[in-house]
Amino acid sequence: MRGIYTCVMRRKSAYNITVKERSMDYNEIQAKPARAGNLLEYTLKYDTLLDMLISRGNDTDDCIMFMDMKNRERPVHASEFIRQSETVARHLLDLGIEKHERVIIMLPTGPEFVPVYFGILMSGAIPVPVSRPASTSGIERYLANLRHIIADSGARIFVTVEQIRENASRLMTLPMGEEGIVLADELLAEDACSRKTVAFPAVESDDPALIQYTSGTTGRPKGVVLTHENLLHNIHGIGLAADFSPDDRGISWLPLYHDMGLIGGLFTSLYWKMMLVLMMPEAFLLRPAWWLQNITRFGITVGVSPNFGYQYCVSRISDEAKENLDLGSWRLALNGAEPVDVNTLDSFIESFSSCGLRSDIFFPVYGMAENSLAATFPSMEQKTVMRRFSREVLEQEGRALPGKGDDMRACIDLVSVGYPLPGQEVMIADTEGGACNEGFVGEILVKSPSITPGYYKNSDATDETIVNGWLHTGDMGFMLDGMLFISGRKKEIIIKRGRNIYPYDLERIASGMRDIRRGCCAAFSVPNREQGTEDIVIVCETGVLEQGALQDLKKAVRTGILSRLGIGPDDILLVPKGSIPKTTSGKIQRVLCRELYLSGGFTDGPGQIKKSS
Amino acid sequence: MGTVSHADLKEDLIFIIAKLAEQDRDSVSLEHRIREDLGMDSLKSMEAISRITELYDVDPDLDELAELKTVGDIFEYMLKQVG
Repeated sequence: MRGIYTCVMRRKSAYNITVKERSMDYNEIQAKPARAGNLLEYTLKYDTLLDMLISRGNDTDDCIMFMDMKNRERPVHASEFIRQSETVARHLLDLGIEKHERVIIMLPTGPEFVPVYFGILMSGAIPVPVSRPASTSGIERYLANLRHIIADSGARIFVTVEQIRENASRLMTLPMGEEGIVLADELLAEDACSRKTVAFPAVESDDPALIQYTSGTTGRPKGVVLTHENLLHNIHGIGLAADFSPDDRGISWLPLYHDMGLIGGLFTSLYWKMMLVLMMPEAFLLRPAWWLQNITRFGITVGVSPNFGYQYCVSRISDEAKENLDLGSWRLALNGAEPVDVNTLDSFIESFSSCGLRSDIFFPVYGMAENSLAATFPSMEQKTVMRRFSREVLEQEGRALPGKGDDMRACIDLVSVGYPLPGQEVMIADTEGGACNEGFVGEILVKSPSITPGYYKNSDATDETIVNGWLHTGDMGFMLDGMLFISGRKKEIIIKRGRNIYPYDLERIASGMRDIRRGCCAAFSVPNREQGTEDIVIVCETGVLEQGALQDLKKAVRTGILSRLGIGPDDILLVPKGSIPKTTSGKIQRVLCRELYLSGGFTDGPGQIKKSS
Repeated sequence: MGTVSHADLKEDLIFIIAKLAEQDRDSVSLEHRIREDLGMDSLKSMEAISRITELYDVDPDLDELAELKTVGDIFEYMLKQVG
């Protein structure tokens, strides 16, 4: 007997995210395999990123408007970048750079980054951009991470700025030695070397154009190799799906060492011939209002940020600052790199509607470094699609069924990340590796021409991750009507402010501390509505009983984790021995532990364990 | 341009830091290291600087900010900027 569940919900939102559900027939949903492909055919405009840059140099308009730390603009024309890139390439070739040699770039998000990057490509080498140290107090950990990347990539040259070179030699010696540390200024210097006529090596579309090191467990990031072809397919797909044209004007504050900033911001704008306003991430964090002022001033149509950036604007920008804002030109607000919080979207729209902000601009997107950048985008007809599900059924049974009522403990609102980009396919895999049906949670798999040929010199990791052309993302999700929803992460990764944090790392650090029972820690994330991100919680067993000693221990755990990972837990629970649930084989049950935490089932400190009967 | 009261500046700074570190005002003092003692990561530190400099209409220099490690360092820095 066919069961028909008619679900017509209008999500009550005062601020315009209204989604009308069509009736859902369980049997219909269950019978459809969770697999979608976008067969739209297209032809790439260029063979390499260099061709792309050269073509941009033929346009009359400036390609990038750099904004400095005081929000002053500096326009640059692509022809200037081309000239500078050639200078960089000549200097590198003079230093004896070889084809496909890896060169590490550690530069601020500014005018020097671009010609250094393209100059490395022109010289036939492969750029490896790395993050900059956030502050001098975190430098030990940062340098350890950097040493690993240098060792792994075998890079002999490290391009950076004077201040970094000073710090680096003061605190430690990088493997390449002093001569290997080259200043951007030196590569950009117009001197006798740069005026020599030199033949640049041929660059092909299947040459690597980037190695992106992903944040793995401490000390073990892996290098994702991406070719020109990988990147161009992704950029082309992005532009088709978002309908980019030279009439668009983009803005980004993301660092250029981050793929969303480099590929999504810089490369995509160059390819689609869109003017790009590029702010420094520090400038955005210092004065988030500048981001919106720049949108007003330059008539920006497209912006990108992780979820926490939008939330940050809501909490930091005063009503006074809103008075001179006009956000009417803004047609697309991409939201990616971390889970999208429905409440953030609502708050942002409410907060800035008085500034002419349209209510239909949010564009939640999904992707990963191994797929160059983007995998799925929403449809332009309905950019924000939100549906309410039963939390219990989703979390316990892995099924997406409609949630009833407004109790957010019983329900969860999820926003869809849309459909595969042109040329890409997405599938939800069951535990046997075949396709699930729609409405069932499984691992998200992606197949596309944007997928990396492999991790740098790590074929084992590659073979584990890419099987028969399908990339195993490690993310869990489900499909409904061909639309993808992300529901969690297979490896229980915590994503905080755009960074991947592994529970295992927190547990290992805490576990190794005095007075914490070894192997008796559980770390997980809980949502933080206020900040539009996730809170990191760690629960540790201890034999310590005295209140003062417990407080000291908590502080020690916090400091220990913060100094080793650069990010601290938001809550630490110290619980008596035996409190943390484990399987019969002794494996920690993190999901159950998280439930206990959320329902108040732990006592913090000495006392009786609350046992369930 | 009126003179800035040092007491007010200190009070405002401690209020901002306490809120971001999710601690009581009384538990925050000038000797506390932002990272090690108050558990604030670089994003939270940046937000603290963002708030206090905005309140006192100061334009910070990115290079100088990297050296600020304690609440007191930030206080001294702000004193120099507001004169």
